[in-house]
Amino acid sequence: MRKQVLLLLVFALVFTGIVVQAEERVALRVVTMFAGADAAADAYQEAIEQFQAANPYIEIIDESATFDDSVKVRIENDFAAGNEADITMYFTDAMSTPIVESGRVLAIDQLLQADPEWANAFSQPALEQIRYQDGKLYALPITGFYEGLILNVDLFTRYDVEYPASWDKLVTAIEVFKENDIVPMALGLGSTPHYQIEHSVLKVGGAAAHGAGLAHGIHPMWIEGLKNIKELYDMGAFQKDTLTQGWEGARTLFKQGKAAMIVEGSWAIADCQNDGANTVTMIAYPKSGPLGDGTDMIAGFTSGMYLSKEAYHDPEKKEAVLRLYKFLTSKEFIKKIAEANGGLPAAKVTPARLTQPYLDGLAAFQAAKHVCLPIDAQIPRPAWQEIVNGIAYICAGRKSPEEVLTAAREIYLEIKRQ
Amino acid sequence: MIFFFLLPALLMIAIFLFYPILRSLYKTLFIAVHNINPRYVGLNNYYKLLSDPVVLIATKNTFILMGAAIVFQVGLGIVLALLVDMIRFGKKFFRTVFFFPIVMSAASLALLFRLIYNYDSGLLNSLLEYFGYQPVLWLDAGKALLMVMIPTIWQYVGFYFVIILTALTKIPDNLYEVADLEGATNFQRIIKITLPLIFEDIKVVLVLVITGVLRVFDFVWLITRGGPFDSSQVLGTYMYSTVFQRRLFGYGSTIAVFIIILGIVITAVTRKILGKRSVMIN
Repeated sequence: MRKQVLLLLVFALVFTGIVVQAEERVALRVVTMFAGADAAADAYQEAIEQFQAANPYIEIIDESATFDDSVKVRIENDFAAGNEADITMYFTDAMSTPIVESGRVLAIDQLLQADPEWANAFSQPALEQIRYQDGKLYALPITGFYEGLILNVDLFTRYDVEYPASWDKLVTAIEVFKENDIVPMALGLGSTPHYQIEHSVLKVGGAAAHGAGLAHGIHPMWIEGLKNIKELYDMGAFQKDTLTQGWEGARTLFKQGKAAMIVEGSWAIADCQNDGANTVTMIAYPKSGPLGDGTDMIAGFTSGMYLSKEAYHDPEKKEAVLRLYKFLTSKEFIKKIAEANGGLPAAKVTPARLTQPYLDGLAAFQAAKHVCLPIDAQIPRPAWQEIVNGIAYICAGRKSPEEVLTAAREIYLEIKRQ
Repeated sequence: MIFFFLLPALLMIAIFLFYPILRSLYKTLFIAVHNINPRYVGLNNYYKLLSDPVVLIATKNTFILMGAAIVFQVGLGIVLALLVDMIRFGKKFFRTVFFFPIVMSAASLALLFRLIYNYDSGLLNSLLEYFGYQPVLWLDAGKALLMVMIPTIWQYVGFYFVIILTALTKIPDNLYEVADLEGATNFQRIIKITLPLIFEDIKVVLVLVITGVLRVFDFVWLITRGGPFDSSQVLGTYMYSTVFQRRLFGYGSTIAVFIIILGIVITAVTRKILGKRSVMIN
């Protein structure tokens, strides 16, 4: 009997040793954009804590940050230098080139095929939208977005202004708000005219023109689109210091109730509500001219989770990193993020508890005849930045849209020769 | 033996300063969008630099800022140091107060000035409106450079003030006593004794100011981002936007090399102009 007990004890000790060895701590670096003022930052933190509680042997080194230009360059350089995180959330559009071309991220297709339950949870259009130009999937989508015109409902009610469902109504709204010392549209023309460029081109030229790119010359509707921004500027639609403002300044103006409209994305709705101080809604940006369509929207999936090839092929990390990767791309996680940021979920789930502005935005998205990815998702960054930098010059009449677009195309052609 | 104690510092400087500089120099020969797949272009980036109108504006603005910094940072630093040196009580108080802006983060000061200049509800415009005047667009193309120069210069006046004040303490009192006996006025004391004796320190301050201006970035970036229409662009911000916004690493490196060359040339010229005009205290 004593021998049996001793044997049992030895067995228990050996087993415990094996378990302890098997569950040696694995440290994983993760980078996401769910940080700072991001609407999904808290939901992400909560999910990470849940994961860590369930997997105590995995230590997550969370390097999530607000993705300003310096952080984006840091991530790109980390990939170039082989210092990338084990899991990185980054862009999947034109900005994905440095990530994928670094050769340090895993193509996910085979992993997905091996796990049909995981694969089938994704929305197929979302997967297709982030597929790389070589036909492979290097990232899995989590959250998508839609952009439109966010309105301060309180100001529209106070001044009895109709929602700008058409260009004429937009002009009327601009006039009324100007007369009442309210900034009609908050916009950082100086450094972040991005969303206005996209909407002006789309709503003047239509979806086909918006997606024309720069490969086959300069689409005349891009010229008209940029002229449309100048028209708004000359009309006094934007705040007086718009030429030295960025999105932060524009959003502050809107949040303070000093501006009636702002062109932004679903990610900004929570911030624009300013903790309930503003009642807001989102509508599709109105069309201008015969070619645009009032329902069209800029929306889609332009980011996803990349899995480091090195981490996946590291026998000590493989199981842990795959477990975390599947967790961060699970339909439960995707639903949680969609409920927090009101964006488009990349999985077949229905987010609950969405507030009215998100429901309005989603309704506009569902009613859209065409859904387009932003222009900067389609053309290389240096060419896009040339257009962005040129907007202030165009508005002040110092350069023509043709000049700015020609310079952007020259840069595009130079890059394509690379 | 002492040589070995210097090695770690030399190694650190070599790794974190000279290697990046050499690497940047190498990168200037390539087009490298997103820092990947570089394509050799020879000296094309340098030709582009010479014909880039924004480089011209940024260089001109850097020189304007340099002139203003020499006049106001060094000038005010000297004047304040002389005045504080003359008073009997409160020297420590003024030294602390004037030095205080240095310990504050440039980023937070820049954001503060951004709020001061804001068109809507900015401090300046609120004051103007309070006194019945129309608000002013402080950051338009005509005023943007001036507006970013104010905090940039203001923050470092205290730094140079402390250097000059420390230099003044090295002057022996007996020189001033002799001057008093000779009936020299305060102005004569400053011109004939003080300034010649601290000239070496002023030279150091001038070199620091000049090289410091070439590194100016934070105030300009956070207040105007170099705009509008590049009117407040300086070389530091243009280099940053070329690399971090436009992702043109090769061309950005070329601007960085240009800044280094400019710094070396200006410093050498300054030293040549100022020469060895110092006075030794025996």
